[in-house]
Amino acid sequence: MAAKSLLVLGIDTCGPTGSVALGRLSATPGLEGRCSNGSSIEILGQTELDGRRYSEKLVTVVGDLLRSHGVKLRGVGCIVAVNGPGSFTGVRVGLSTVKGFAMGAGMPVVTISRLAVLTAKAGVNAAALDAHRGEVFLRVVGGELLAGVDELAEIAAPERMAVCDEAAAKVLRAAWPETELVEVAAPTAADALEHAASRVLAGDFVELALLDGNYLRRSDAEIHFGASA
Amino acid sequence: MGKGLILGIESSCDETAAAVVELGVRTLSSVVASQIDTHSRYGGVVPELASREHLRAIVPVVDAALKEAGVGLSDLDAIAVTSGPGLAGALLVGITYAKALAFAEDLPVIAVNHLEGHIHAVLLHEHEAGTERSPLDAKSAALALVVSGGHTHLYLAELQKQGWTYRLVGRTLDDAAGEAYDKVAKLLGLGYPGGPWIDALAKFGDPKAVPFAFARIKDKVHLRGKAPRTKAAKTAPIAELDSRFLFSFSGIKTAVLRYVELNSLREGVAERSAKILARAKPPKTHEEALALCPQAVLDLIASFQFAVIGDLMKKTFAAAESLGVKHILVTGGVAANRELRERFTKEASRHGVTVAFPTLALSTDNAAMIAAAAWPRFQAGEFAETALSADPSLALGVPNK
Repeated sequence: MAAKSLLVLGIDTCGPTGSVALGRLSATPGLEGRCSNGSSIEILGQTELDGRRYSEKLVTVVGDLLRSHGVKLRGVGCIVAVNGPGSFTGVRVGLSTVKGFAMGAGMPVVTISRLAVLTAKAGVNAAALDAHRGEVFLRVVGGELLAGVDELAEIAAPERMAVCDEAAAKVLRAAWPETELVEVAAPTAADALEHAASRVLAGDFVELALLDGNYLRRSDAEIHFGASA
Repeated sequence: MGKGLILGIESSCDETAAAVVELGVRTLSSVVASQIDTHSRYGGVVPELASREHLRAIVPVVDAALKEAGVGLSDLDAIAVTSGPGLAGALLVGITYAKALAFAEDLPVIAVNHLEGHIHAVLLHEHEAGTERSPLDAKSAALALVVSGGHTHLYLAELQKQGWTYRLVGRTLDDAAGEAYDKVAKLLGLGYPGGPWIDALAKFGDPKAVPFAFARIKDKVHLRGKAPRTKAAKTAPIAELDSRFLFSFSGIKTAVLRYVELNSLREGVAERSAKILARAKPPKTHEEALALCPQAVLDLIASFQFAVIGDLMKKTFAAAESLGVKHILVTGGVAANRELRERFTKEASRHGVTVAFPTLALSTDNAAMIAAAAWPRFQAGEFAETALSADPSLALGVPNK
């Protein structure tokens, strides 16, 4: 696909508000180029989704977005799916839809963590999202995890980290007062397209049958049963 | 229209299922991925775990159903999916996947009520066995008992020119019959789901040892036609139903608990539970049964099953007689029960009515029944709205719902 451009569809329904975005990815830098590896992505359009109506709206919103750009689903070269962490149901509605699209139209899928999008967006290498119950979904160098007060006390505080919601910021200010919090807007599907562009070009696709949610938190039944994750 | 092929998808509880059915009557494939191993240690279905398993299983299960049927996505005429009742998060996986797949293939989506699906499991089996009825047949009206871990409903099902119509005539006020099985099994340290264990062990006990009784459900005059605030009544009105056809299975679970406490049958429950988790095979001989449970527990199990099936039978046959219906369909997970099949069959011949069950595989949740139930809808062009979502308390055969 060296000199050609590729249409990419981004889907993020993990947060309280979701979005779908359509982009054109070129392997050579263009005017809109913002990617580090010599590729460029032009965001053609993005639509926001109400988090309470993902299951009703997602397929329709994708259909409308494609139609408004004169594109058919089969014309999309790759789907970038944000696979969590966030709302369990939101994660699953997004991924079930992606599985249906990809199986039907036969395009590959790249998954990206919402925390990875957030760190890339803020230009830092740590990030946190609200996980409710006084906990955060945390990304630090070395991995992602669900962290409450106890876990945060065990982890070396990064110098800077990205946040996009007040609840996570509050937990971090209490646990890591020395850390500089870089506050950015919540990551969107367009952000996911930009930050996954190099992986799309590299063909870093996920096996459809193995595509799964990046939940980070176990179900309550497992937590109370004391089973391993 | 193509070949009349419908892909059915079912994910309402703890089985991820897909099937291809031709013209509503010929099953080309039916694939079911059960999650029993995931939930057994909790003694019941954990909704969040079920939803996660559905997401993992959906692509391989649909793939397998298409391969087994020897058809491609482009051969399909429609995709049918269970839209309720069931667990919201579990239903959503099947629904959103089905909508996206249908969008990609430019196919219509048909939303199917899970309970209607169960009724069609028997009809599908009758078609395939060559014993189906025509609209002109006197047996075109049937009384359907849908009985499983989540449901205990009686419907009058009538085959009319425009397809099958349903009217709710009875239901449980609280627990489903299968739920009572699961709870009693858990209490006695037996495996999950409870039905197969209790049915297997009941063979070796005395069904008359413990006389469990079901009280007649009284008309609640003080409710003035409103539904009582019980768990099940929230999902469908019961005020208009004849109280003779109402079930209640929460009492017998408490009665079993009391009997266990009074007769010191608690002993050995933990060991039995560990044994079953480790080995997980219901016993085939009396010796094997005794190795698991003392005779007093086997008698209790046999008595519990005898009482539950007796109650299901009594109300079902009373409803059939009252409605003048000559054909009874029994379907749902509990319809796989050996003793239930034997006793319903005997009772039917005594009443001069016929009774039909699905095959054992079609008794429990599957997608062939969903694809079969969708066929009349497909012919009538009744397709789902694009905004289709899960309806966890979707009712069947109730006006204005």
